[in-house]
Amino acid sequence: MLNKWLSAVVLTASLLVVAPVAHGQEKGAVREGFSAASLSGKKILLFRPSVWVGEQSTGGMAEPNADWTTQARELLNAELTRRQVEFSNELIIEPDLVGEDSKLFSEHRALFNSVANSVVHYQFFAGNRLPTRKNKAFDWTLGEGTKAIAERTGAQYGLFVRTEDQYGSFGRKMFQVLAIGLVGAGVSSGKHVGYAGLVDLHTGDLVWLNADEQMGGDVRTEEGMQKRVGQLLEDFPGLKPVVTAAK
Amino acid sequence: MKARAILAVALLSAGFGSASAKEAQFERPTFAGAYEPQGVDERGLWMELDDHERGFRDSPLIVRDEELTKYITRVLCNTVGQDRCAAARIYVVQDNIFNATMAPNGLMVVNTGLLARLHSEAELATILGHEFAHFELRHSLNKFKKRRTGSDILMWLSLSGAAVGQNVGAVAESAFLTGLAGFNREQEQQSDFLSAGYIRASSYPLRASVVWKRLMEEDDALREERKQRKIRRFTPGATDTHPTNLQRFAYFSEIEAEPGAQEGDDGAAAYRDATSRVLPTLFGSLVKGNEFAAADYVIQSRAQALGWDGLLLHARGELYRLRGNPRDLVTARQFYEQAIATGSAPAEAWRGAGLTAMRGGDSVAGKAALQEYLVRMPQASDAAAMKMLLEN
Repeated sequence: MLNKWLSAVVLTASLLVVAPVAHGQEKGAVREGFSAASLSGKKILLFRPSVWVGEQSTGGMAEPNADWTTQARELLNAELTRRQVEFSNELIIEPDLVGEDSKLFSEHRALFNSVANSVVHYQFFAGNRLPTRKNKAFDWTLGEGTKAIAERTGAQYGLFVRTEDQYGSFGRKMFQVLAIGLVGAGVSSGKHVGYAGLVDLHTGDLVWLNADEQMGGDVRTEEGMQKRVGQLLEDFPGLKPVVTAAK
Repeated sequence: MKARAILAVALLSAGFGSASAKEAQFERPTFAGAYEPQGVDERGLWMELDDHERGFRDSPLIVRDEELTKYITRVLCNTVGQDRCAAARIYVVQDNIFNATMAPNGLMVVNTGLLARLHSEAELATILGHEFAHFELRHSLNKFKKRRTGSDILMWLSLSGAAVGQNVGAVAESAFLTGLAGFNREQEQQSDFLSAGYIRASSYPLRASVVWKRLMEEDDALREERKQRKIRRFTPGATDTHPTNLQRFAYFSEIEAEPGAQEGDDGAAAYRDATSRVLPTLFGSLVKGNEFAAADYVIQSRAQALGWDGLLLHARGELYRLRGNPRDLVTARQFYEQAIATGSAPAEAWRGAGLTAMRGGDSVAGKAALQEYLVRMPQASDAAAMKMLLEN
């Protein structure tokens, strides 16, 4: 009897929370034939990172927070700049453009997000692998349209970074505790997703991707952001072997 | 069990309450300078939409025609006042659906399908005013808060229900969903009324009911073509997000009957001039869509109000040619020839006339028309294919 009601509450909860369940999944991949050597002496273009920080309401809704997002964006930029020394490459920041050029950049940022999402859902996530991706090499591309970006900026590689953080609100945390205590239903609180990917702008190929749906580090603090960037750039082929303080 | 379900519904409706009670205290902000959003939730929404707009402004779906955008901005300014209209940034988007939207941060989207279906500045003003009212009344923000409160209550209700072995989740959830829809309908109606208020204060006459009447007629035409039952309802369904077209027609008709509501120039001539120039852009996706009767209704109703010109006749020719029944090609050819006779036809009208003539067994006239098309448009993307037709 109780089970029936239990499933009702879990179902209700799942209707409100659309966070993908991503347990036991691969986090990163490198394209065949790509290594640190391919990166040597090449410029890397950093696209405007996509940053979203907010709260998660009791009912599971995402509540955007402008202050936290602005702060996280600033901390992310500062941290990436600070880490410049660890890159064996020169990192250039996406220029602010108008007209056709800005269209080119916007389109490719959006395309990267779509492709990265597909990689996570259809190749990294074991339970949902497409037959065409099962046991296949890591082979994804944004297409040759990226060549124009390489020509405009002189960079051979493009680095994309995306973070999304929902911190469980007080109500959500209370609910989580009570749900497990009263009826034994597990309810998640908070959501911390981060992607980082490198694209060869000459071919459009995705050469490295690190995607984690359960990231650590509080992006609203300097220390937390150091940890987050450390996780995002984990296994990045172009990093010098330097020991970082915050790990 | 029943008592609990009633309690659930009562609690949820308390969460929703009446939209007007709270928002009656709303004070119209002065848009004297740059408005900055207030409070965590409003600032959060603006942040999200500002970020969205950074990408959206470069979207390939946006019609990049500065003159058209400036024209629409002018109509908006005439409607809501010069001091406030600067809060909106207008983007015309290639979409054949009758719609416009305005986001909390001032991003306003106007579909080409909306512009194709309207016949005067006064009609455009009712729609722009409606969207601006959503913006000014902070409707997205209020909806966001309602949804949050509602879903919070829903979570607690289903948990407490589960704790005592009662399933209130399903009942509470349907109360939540219908409550949200009802709240949404109230907001829409509020915006309609505020929009009517803007127009009464502007130089335009109120011409709103006719817009909803034509939308009903268009829907009727499409349903007739598809052999479906015509639907005109006065009561919205429980999950409808907007008042029905018939409701909107009725209450706008009432306001329009008030003394003085019809005074002023409706700007039909100016609207015709501003939109004829970009007619192929406005009607393109409508003509290529899969709703023949609806598209034909829209074309004919524009002609009735603003008159036929070469571009509109050509659009009708394309509509018939693309449906492509043998009889349609005969009809299409007539429209192309009428378009050419007006002297304001696009080069493509000769292509249409040529293709339909050749299909109809009149290859001499057909080839002459195609030749004319190639003279008028030597760089056409289908020039090679047309040359091949001419050689055979």
